Amino acid sequence: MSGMAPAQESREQAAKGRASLAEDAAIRFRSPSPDGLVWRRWEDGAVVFHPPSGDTLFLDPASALLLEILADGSPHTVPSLYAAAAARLSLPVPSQDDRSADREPAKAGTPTLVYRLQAVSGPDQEALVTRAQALLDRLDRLGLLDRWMP
Amino acid sequence: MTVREWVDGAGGGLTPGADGAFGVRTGPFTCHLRLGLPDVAGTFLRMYSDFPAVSENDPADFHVAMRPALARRPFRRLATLTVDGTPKFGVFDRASAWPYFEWGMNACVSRLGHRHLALHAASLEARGGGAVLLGPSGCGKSTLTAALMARGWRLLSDEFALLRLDTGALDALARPVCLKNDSIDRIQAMMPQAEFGPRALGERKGIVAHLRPRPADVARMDESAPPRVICLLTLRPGAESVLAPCGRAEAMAAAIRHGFNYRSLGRDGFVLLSAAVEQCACFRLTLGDPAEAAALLDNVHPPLLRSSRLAYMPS
Repeated sequence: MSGMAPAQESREQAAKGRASLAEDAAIRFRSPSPDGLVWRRWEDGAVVFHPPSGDTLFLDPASALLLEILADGSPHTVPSLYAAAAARLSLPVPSQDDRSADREPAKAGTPTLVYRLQAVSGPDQEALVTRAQALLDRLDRLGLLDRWMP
Repeated sequence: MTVREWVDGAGGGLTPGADGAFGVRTGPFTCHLRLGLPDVAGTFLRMYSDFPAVSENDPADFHVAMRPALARRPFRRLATLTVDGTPKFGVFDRASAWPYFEWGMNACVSRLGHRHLALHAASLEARGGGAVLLGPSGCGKSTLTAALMARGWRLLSDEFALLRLDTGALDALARPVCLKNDSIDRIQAMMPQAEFGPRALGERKGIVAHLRPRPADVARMDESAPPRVICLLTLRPGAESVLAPCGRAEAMAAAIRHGFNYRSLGRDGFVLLSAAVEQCACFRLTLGDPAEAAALLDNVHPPLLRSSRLAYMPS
């Protein structure tokens, strides 16, 4: 038991959500070796070979799209990455003053990255969004992503 | 010269060595053997009689030796096996020596055969196209292989899909098919003329017996086949067999999981395997009854010349 009133707890969660949203917006990603990736695209996803590590990545279509955008070599913040994905998917781009985290405090504790992409692509894309989160984590572990605070 | 001709003395130059020394070629691999157990040497001569014999003076890809081992307790008859001089499997009962010999030969291919991308899969050919059956151990690959052989498919291997690094085609080994437990009687009923090796207790696998490859499988073992079908197997005994299409990315993921040397080959392995997947129709097969499953697969394999099918021809 935290000993905290439910209303106070949800306010704090919302505040945490806003903080991590700001943090995500500040962190920039890019793929340091996009030319080295070897791609094969099929109807059910893509398979990508990463020569320096010898790893092979299996990507669903949404994750493949995100990596494709990253692999152009230009730096992205999380919102700009999702905005690029949304543009390619012809989805509405999230606005800067998106306050959905405040409106739904029960969701504020979920990973911000996932929550933001839900806002972009709608709840029916939830599974793909979760995959995208896993993809970014994995790319990071492989050293395929540079992160820095500008 | 075949092993049978060699044993019959028809070839003249080659004679069996003093301690069961043989040389044999199975597909692209040449192996020197020293089978110091008379019953294993006898089974070898029966199961491999149609394979090409090679001289001990020819270079070999690997050397397999089987010898009696000393038992601490009286009446226990034990044996050991070495691959290129290194012990493999420890000490085992001589009654199980034949399956251990076959598994030793498998270990040679999986660990030393780097001229191919080797997958842990069964592979067959029908109507000019190769089929790769992927699945974990015990999922029914060998049983389905035998069931497809009963329908006239040509055996490449029940344990490996060997993709050539130069052409991407599937090479054949045409070695005996390892059947386990209930599958032995089931396949025997399906192929009454088929010959089997001795039944033996194979540790975790239960009772095992090897189906002798047909002479025509061995005669055509130098013919490679372009891969045309990839099938991911799931065993559901007693259930209805179901064949459903699956995506190529899923098939590629499964093939990599079952690769013996995929990572060792690096980029070449990726390019080769993805090109193979690209040219294949991919399926998921729930394997209930093997005969039923074989019929399903037979229907989707590229249609072609019925005359190219092999009939079972006992030697």
